[in-house]
Amino acid sequence: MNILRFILTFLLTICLLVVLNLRISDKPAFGSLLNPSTGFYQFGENPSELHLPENIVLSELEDEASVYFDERRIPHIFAKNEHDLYFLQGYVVASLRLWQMEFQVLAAEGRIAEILGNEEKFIAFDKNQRRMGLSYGAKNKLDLINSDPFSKNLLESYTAGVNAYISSLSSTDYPLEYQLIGYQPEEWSAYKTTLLLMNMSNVLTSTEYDIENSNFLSLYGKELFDSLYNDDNSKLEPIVESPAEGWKAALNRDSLEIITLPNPANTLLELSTLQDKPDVQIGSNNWAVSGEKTASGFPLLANDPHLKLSFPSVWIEMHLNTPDLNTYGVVFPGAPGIVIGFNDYIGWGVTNAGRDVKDWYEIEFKDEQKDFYKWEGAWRACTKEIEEIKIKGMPSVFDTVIYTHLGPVCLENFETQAGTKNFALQWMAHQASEEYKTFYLLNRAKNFDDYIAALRYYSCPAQNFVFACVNGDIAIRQQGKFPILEKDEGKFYMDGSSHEAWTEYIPFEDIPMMYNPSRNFVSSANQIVADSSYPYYLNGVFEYYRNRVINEELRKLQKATVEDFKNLQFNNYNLMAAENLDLMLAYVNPDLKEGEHAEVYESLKSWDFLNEANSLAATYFQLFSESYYTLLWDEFVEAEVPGGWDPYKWKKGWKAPGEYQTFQLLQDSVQHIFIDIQGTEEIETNGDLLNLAYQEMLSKLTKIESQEWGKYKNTLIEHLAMIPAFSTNLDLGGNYKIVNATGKFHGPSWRMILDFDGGKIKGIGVYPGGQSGNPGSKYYDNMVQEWATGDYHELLYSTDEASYQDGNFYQVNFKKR
Amino acid sequence: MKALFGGILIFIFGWILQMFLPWWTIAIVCFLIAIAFFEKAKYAILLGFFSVFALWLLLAFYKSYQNDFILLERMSALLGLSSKWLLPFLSAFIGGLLGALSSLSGYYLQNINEKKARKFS
Repeated sequence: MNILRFILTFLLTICLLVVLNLRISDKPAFGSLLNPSTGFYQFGENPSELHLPENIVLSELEDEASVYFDERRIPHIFAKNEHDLYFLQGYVVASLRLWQMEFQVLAAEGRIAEILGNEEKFIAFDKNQRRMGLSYGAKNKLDLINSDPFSKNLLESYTAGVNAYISSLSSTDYPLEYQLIGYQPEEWSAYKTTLLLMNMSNVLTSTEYDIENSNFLSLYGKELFDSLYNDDNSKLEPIVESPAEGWKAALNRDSLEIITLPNPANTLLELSTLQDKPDVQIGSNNWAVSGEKTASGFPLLANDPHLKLSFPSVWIEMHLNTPDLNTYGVVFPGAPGIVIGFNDYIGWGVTNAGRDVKDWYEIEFKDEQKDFYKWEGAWRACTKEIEEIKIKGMPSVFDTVIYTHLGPVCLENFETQAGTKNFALQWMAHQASEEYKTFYLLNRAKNFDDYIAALRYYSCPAQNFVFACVNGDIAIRQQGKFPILEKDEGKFYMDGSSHEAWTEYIPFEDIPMMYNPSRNFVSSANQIVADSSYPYYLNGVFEYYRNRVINEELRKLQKATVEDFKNLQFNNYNLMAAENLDLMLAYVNPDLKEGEHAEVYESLKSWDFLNEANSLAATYFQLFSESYYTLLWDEFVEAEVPGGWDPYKWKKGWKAPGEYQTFQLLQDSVQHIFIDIQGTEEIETNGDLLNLAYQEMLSKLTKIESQEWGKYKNTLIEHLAMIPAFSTNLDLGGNYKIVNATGKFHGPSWRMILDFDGGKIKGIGVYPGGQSGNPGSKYYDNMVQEWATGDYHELLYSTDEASYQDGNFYQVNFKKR
Repeated sequence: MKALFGGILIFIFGWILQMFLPWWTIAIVCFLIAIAFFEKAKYAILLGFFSVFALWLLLAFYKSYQNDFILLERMSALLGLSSKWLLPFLSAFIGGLLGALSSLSGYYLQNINEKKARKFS
């Protein structure tokens, strides 16, 4: 009896222990998570202590070094040589952001199901990443890096630093997300750093609609396409003014092949395997003015890249110093150097070029085996890569990716009216390149020539690099590698049986650039880079509103100060509304403007077109215009998903013209078949649509909680793994297409202003997050309020190491073993 | 009195050992202390439960206090708890349950050789 009682309770204890240590269906083990010694509590950092010890001894170091963390936990790394500098950058970034840096590259590589488990959407995501060839491109870049001792050393030093940090941890020390999701970090590698670049390329070159455009073309013809999807930019101001003496480039147009458009019978019906297109709401602003326009007589420069607002932040801020280098700015966790920032001589910033460097080609296979595809009337052999997609707790899934001379067959077995089709993807990001070298050299650049020399290594994703120098120079240059294309080439999918892979690229000298222009300012906000006199065909998705507001303000600017630049970064002027609201309202019937509705109408009529957080009219306009857009393009837009935010959700395989084109059509009173609403008896007119849209807006207003713009928009900074408890909502002004591009999910991911007063750069900056990736740290989101209220902090980049030893910094001494 | 002393020992040894050893060593501590100190089943259950409950509650609060309760707030939201103050009690309850069970089994082991099992009272 006694024995029995013992055995029973003993077994019960063991059972309880097992249950507490067991992960049940993706939930963390309760005992491991909730016990106060090794559970989540240990990740709660004491805000007044540093996350690293005071002395760290590492065998990989070549010399002694120190890192000083300021009150925001921004590291100032002082190393004696380059190896130690990049080694410590890797070490320090890993200590702050280990989970994020790895999760990003695992996603890039298509390994989400391996971590998050057996869900259809994870497996589909992984498959798509593999088929897009993100790892293929990363490996191409890695091969080039490995053949260049310079780049190889740079990435190896960084990698060793990350790995030194990882190996200093025991499994219970791995960041909280690892404990919650239940996996462990892998070793870092140079390959992972190239994957990170592929990830950025994927985000920043996502705006192409070749298949969607082809669908439209097949069903409605080229004439209608050209009139609706009109990319006439003649009313706008390109980034680079045409040179007075004309473009130097001598392009022999006769040498280019004529593009054959897709066959009208080829409408693609089954597009379910198409991934949702990443949204087009990312963008950026940058500008610089010369001393002629400033109070100090020296340049001012600003940059704010708009990316997905997320925790941990997409950027990490740091200061890197060796006897030969002193640079400050932000960088993606996982990459060496500084991507946006300044040094003692120059400052630079980037915006996305938005050029189309992703082209699709129809591939015809010889037979079901798919070992050969048609090429110039004969059969050419494909290569195949078998991709193993691991799934947590399940057997792996395998996918065979077929490679042609153009690239991987990303879309396979599409059902169309003309039978199954296959499409290969040619993408600039697949090509070998050494972008990190550009940033290495920019970090050390002293003048305009050094800046140009640095940009030579930069291919993809193409960016507009703004530049200013302590000697008073300003410049802007769109840098990237661009294939030479015939008109309309790359707008639609092409024939893979006759099309060669890109071989000719726009020469470096012919890429648009502006250096000390007479107008005394340079700027870019994702608009087209040059006007139609530019000899090369420019295809892409461009911005139409922000850049005009910025240029208007910069033109007016005299005796500018940092305050003026701050105001411009927070400019909430809604140019789209200013250009179109009166016209839209003129169509609306009087009875919708009177009585109980008078208030809304008056508010719209008297609106100053500023999307301030407390504006009601901004909300009215947003609802009104997105209802109109959705009603107008009901053939292409999913009606049940309110548009505007992220952005409109297209029906699979279709894309409507953009807002700018849409409003141009309205202003020019262009009649077209899409104005009519499908499935109604009447033939609607624009007036009908606008009345319906206005009514929709009025009825939506009764259903929303708050009509104030900031509360309605409710900007979200979301955790990378979409854990709501680790995310934040904010009540802010601004929106997409507005200079203060704080939208629902995207916004200024880093605001920086550089003042070159007296030939000495003084920088201020802020980003919506914090240096730490640990949700248990005060420094996970400590800069969010500062960012939201329009504050900036000073960017300290003194070369005088002693100035960091005044007791206001946490000093970590790194010693060589 | 002896039992109370055992409870205090669980608290102290549990505290020290958990700094170096896996969290579940608390079960072994309770088990061993129960063999030596608890003479009644109810002492084993009550003191096993409350010493670990108190230890874990104190540790959870102390660590959360040092962190300005930042993480406690986020984890409570993650677990769907209405108030962050519930979480340390949830932790403590889990620890207490484990403490009670392991010390009870320790007590029964101590009792195996006794001719007449003591009444459960």
